[in-house]
Amino acid sequence: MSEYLLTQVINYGAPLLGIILFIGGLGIPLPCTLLVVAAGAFAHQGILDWRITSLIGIIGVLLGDSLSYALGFYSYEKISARFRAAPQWRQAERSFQNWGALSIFFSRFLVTAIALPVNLLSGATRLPFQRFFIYDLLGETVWVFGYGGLGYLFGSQWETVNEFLGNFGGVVLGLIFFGFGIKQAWNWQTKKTLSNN
Amino acid sequence: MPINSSQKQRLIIIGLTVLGCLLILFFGARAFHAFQKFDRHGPPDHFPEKLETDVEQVREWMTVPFIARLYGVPEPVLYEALAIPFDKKNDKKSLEDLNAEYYPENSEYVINTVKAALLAHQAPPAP
Repeated sequence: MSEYLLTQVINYGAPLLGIILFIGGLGIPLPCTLLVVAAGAFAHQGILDWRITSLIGIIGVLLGDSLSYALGFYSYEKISARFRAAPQWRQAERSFQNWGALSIFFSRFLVTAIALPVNLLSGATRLPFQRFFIYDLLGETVWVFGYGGLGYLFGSQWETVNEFLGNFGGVVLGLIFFGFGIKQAWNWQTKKTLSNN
Repeated sequence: MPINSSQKQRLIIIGLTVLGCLLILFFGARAFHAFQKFDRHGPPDHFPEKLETDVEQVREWMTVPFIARLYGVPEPVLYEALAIPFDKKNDKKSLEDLNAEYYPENSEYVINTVKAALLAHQAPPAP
């Protein structure tokens, strides 16, 4: 799949990349990060124009993200009817209102595996669209210019860059799990100490 | 035996931290391995026109026009080496597709021929 898409990107350029990123934003599992890094390298090699490619790429992915936000937004009634009574859902809603913006920003480029759930949750918890859009735009700009920029900088070594970034994302995901586990342990210990006192 | 909430909580905590550690170790080792590769290859610094010289960078997903541009070799030279017609129809096909279409019985023939043609076209190093 990755190789087929790479061939098509060198054949059809930025418009195709924009379409792929749009589909990726909808949650269809496509190797979008690989293509962004490769596009940076192609720009370095003079195959693509970096200005047009980055602009079309950002527009494509923002449209995809906004559509998946809308999906979460319009399924709110269904989700809410089912989980409204659960305290966990209300806690998740409150927590997303507080921390949602940061989740949106970092899931665009650091932990891309959770980008779709974050989009759906943003819509489902009724995070204001303007707020979602601003953080989405910031995060995707970092993704396109940061990752594409690394591809541009390293040129023909872009495959190694992509390998490094993919694995780095895994490390970050591991840190999140680990941190969450430690936080749970801390809360549990505090609760236990309070109940003993 | 039913699990009480305290045991459940403990299991969740252990599960999360162990999973986190495993992910960090696994992906950390791979990231480190990728990081070490950075300086092993790549275009030499003295190529201001950004032309690629290392033929080991040729991949099967690449097309002939793309390779021609990347390595500064005229397209007809590559098509001639491959004994494949130089036309628009073949321009958008990857090396893998060209191999499947023209040399199905000989896997990797196209990529190896392209690499050889690129090497032959590159100027010999100055004495």
